[in-house]
Amino acid sequence: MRMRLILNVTLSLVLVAALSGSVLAQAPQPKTEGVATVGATVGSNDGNQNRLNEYEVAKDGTLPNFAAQVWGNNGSFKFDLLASHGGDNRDQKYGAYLSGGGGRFKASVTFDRFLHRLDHDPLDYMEAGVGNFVVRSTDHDPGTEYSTANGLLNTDVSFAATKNVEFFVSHKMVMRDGVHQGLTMSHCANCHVESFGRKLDQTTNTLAAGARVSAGRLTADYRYENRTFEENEPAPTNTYDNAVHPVSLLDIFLNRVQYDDGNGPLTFDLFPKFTKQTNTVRAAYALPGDGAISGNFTHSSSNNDYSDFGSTFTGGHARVTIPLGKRAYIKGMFRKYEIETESVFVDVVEQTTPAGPGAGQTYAQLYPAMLPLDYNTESAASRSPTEMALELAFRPGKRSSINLGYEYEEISRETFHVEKTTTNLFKASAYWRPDKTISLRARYEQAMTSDPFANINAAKPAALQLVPTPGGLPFGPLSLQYFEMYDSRMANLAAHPTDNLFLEGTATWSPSQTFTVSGHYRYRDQKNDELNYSTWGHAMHMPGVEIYVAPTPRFTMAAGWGYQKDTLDTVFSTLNFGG
Amino acid sequence: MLDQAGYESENQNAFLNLQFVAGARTEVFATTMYNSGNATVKDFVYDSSNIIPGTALPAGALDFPLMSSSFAGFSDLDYRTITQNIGVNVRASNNVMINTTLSFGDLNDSAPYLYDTTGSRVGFYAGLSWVF
Repeated sequence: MRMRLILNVTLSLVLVAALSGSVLAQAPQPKTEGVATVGATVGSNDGNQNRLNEYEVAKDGTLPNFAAQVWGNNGSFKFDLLASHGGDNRDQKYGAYLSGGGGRFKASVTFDRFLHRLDHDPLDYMEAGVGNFVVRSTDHDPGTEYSTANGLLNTDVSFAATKNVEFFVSHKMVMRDGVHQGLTMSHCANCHVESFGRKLDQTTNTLAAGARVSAGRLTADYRYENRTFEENEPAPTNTYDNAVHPVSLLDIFLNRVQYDDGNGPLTFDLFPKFTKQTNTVRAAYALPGDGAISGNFTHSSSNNDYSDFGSTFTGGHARVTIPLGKRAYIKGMFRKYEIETESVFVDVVEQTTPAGPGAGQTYAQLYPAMLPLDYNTESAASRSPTEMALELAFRPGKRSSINLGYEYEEISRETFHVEKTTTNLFKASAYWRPDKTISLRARYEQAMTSDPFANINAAKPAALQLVPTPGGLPFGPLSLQYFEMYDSRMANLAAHPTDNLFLEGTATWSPSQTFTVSGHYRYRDQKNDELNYSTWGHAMHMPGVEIYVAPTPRFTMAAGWGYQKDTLDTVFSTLNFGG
Repeated sequence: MLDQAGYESENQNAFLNLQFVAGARTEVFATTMYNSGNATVKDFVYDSSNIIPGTALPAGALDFPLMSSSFAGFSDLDYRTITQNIGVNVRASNNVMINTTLSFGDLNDSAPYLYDTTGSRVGFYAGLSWVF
């Protein structure tokens, strides 16, 4: 076995050397070209730069700049190297692109590092309340400008072992370090929002490898990918406020919360370790004529390693293209996949309150109607979609084409109130060039959906307590409890349409190579008429125009204008409850 | 409580690129970009009759007129951004290029959300390139 391996490797090396020699004999003369730049940027800033220069260093002062790019070849070996440094370690870019063996060996390494300015909410708009019942805030890191430095390292290597077999491997690394605003909140007593500077040191690693095989009309490839995400800075902690009655400040509310100051420091703003493995197989077969059939199958599993739960994705699709003479073709597509997410058991911490009418009792002991408290939570992401599409395209003349299509989608959900969503979509597009200077395009789409994704019984609780409890006390048979209010909600909410219309038109006039003007208009109208207490609608208008003029060979001008107006008609729901 | 309301947003972009070859070795260019965006909640009115039928009492001692007139404004957005670059590239010799760019950016935040992001910057870049 070992001897056979050595023999194979030796044969491969001899083959590579022979092929390289053959290519080298035909290769162009060795040549190296490049450009090197040195410079400096001087800047003066005024006010806040978070929106104006969200991803730029834009230093208030002077920064030196350096950049270089070298490219060329040495026989069959080609290279392209680049480097740039903006005078700040959060503004760097490097790259190396290599190709050898007449293109049979390819490798590239790139690194890009950039700044991202982040918001710092000052929380200075709170401090509202009635008596002792106050919404308040504490910023433990006031005035600090938050940002992250983001590094992207990409490495890709491919090697064609034979004319029919190619191996590839890639590694992608995303590094994010800096400080962002970590927010957390105490309940009862007051609504107390607290802000901390939260250090970040995150790394996402993605390693992939696979092979491509081609044999006549058939091509196929397999790819394995492993991804991990890890936060290397510890999660911050906070000691929450004592959970007391917000008005009387008596210690009678502890059984309404799961933690307060008695639990000591507790972590918040935690980034769990995350892992994901993906296997993908793809194949395509070129049918006689211009026809083709292709398909893929993907399985992936992802896991939250901190809490030890995860989800899986299993699915695939198939496509077929069949020519209908020289002027038409028909395409078909079928796709089915399933996302399964593990349910998570929520074990509610039931504390006993030290004083008041419920002293020594948990909340459930005081109000047994709320039971059961512990539950299994299911993810709305769990679903089984099935998609089918048909498209007919034909060219009535040399300067025109028409496409007609139909798509069907069915989404089944086992663990959600909306168990099945069905969408039928009809679409058409046309292209026409009446003469050499004018081209026209038009597109139409109409989708009808039954039972779109919605939050069932999400708003509008019944008016259960028409008269305030004497003294505002939350105890006693007449007092309305939170769980009773939430359980009585009746209105369904949605942000997805039952009817969706999209229209687009584009016209271009280009009487010469020195003048082109183009205009377009996009329109979308969506509505949901299946909601029980409200309507939902969305309309979009999006005109635009672009112009290019070159009156002389020495002068060119390009200009454009675009406008978008969105109008949303929806319901606003506010729970009014005095604590 | 539950009330029908609206949300309206407008976004506008425009650009102008000019390029002029001033001589055998000199190129002048200018780029202007403009963006404006605004958004607001519309028709947001609390109707106290929805809260306690048959009474004139607002629930939880809430001030419906104040809430109706102020809550919608909390979501207002109104940004306007202008950036302008003007530059000259000069080929000093067959191997040496001189690049200069004067840039200006101004963002006006007329309806701050959380905090005021109004800011501006003036920058100048000068560089020397060797082509080989």
